[in-house]
Amino acid sequence: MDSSRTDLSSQAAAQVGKWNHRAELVGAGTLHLLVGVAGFFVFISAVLRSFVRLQWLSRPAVMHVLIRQIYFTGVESLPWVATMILLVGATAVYSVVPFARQLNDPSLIGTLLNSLLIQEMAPLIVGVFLLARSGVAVVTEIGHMHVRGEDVLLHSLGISTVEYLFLPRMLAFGLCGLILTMLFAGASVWTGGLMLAWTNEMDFTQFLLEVRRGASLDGMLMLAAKGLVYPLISCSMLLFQGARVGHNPNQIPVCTTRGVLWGLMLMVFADVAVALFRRLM
Amino acid sequence: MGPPDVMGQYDAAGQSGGMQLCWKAMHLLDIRIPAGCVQRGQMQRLVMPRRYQLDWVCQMTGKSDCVWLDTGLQKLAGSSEAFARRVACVMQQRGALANLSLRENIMLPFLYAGKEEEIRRCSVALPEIASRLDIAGKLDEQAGERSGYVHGLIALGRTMLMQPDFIVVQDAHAGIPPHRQERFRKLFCEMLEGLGAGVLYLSASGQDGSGLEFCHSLDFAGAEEGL
Repeated sequence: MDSSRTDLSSQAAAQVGKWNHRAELVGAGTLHLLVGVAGFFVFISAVLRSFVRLQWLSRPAVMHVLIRQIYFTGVESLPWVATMILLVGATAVYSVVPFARQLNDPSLIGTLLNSLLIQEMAPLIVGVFLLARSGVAVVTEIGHMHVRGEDVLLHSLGISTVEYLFLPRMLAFGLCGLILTMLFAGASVWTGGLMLAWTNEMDFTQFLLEVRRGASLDGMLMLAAKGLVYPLISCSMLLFQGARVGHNPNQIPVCTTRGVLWGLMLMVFADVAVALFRRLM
Repeated sequence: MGPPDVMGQYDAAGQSGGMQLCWKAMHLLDIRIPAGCVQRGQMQRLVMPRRYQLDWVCQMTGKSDCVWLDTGLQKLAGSSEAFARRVACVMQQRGALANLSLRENIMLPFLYAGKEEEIRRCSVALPEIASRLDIAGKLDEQAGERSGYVHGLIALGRTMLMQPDFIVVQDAHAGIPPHRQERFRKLFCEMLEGLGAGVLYLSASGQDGSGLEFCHSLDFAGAEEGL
């Protein structure tokens, strides 16, 4: 009787120990996440402070980095964006127009293209494209700079890494994201319309009139805001992860993967938050 | 040689109005560095392993305010831009950013500061300095991966343009191929003669190959063995 009681109590103690261990793991994980979030906000506030001071405007070295980044992120990616415009434009119109025809409601063409292609797909596709193409390059570049100790050199020259390394990259991402999103939205609609006219599905002018009818100023402003903010938040996450590489080269692939995944998650979170906000408003 | 009489030196500098590079007592990993200072024109050496040297440089440029420049009129914190304009760093294998050209690397602090007059002065002086350093033909090449010697030359070129009051050297003479060492030593000594700057030399060994005459040398070379 006594031995069975002892067995039960030792089993219960082991169970409690297991639960304690799990609770410790959850607690440690939560603390780790909170520390990461706090670090990310400190990083963003440092970049914002640097941006608001506007000293970067009078620094040729910072402007050189900005111009190079705009060239790399915006200009060199144009062939890829043009290909996506062609493919996505065609896919969108050939999905939407037959659907509207089935319901015998041509006004759906404008409504659906504006709400799906222009307001939802365009900023997300451009954001994901920038993340995949330029984002990976940004994290690995920043990571390698840390591994080579170039951050120490910059500090020794009195150069702020926030102002010289991070701010121009974020500005380039934001600016190129905005321009490419607007270009993507406008050009994909036009390309889709031209394809419809070419295959005698619909008159081009009629198509443009339908799209115009479905468009609104709010929608355009939302498109611009998303086109600016999504690349900005993904880039800030990428830079944050790049700066965490430290002097360990083994951390470069780890931080790159983490940066891309978290950048993507932040964009999707932001998209959901905007949708909920608009619904509540 | 023992640690310098720090307070005594501070007083002497205060009376003469001299400029000095000062640091307070600080902990580098597991060792404690006593407070000290270097006067303009003076040369001091701290002998310690490489990771301690890098930690020293990080403490100097970080927000800890462990190191400052006392100009006699004001104290410039190590993390400030004004400090970096008057205290140059020559570091081993850390003289250049890989994605910039040699010209941009040498001009970087001036292009960052954005003062037109300074940029013009440096643009005029750079070709002559580059030919003295024998890198005139490579100025527009991307730095990429370069030898310690080229990193050293870039840092020397930058220092010549900066004309600082003090130079912190982090074992810059180490890791240079033997056939280049003599030339680098000569260039370094010529530059020092011309500038008359104070030198704080962070070295891994008493035989650092710099050929400089140090008035103080503190030895922490055995520190890493204690880790």
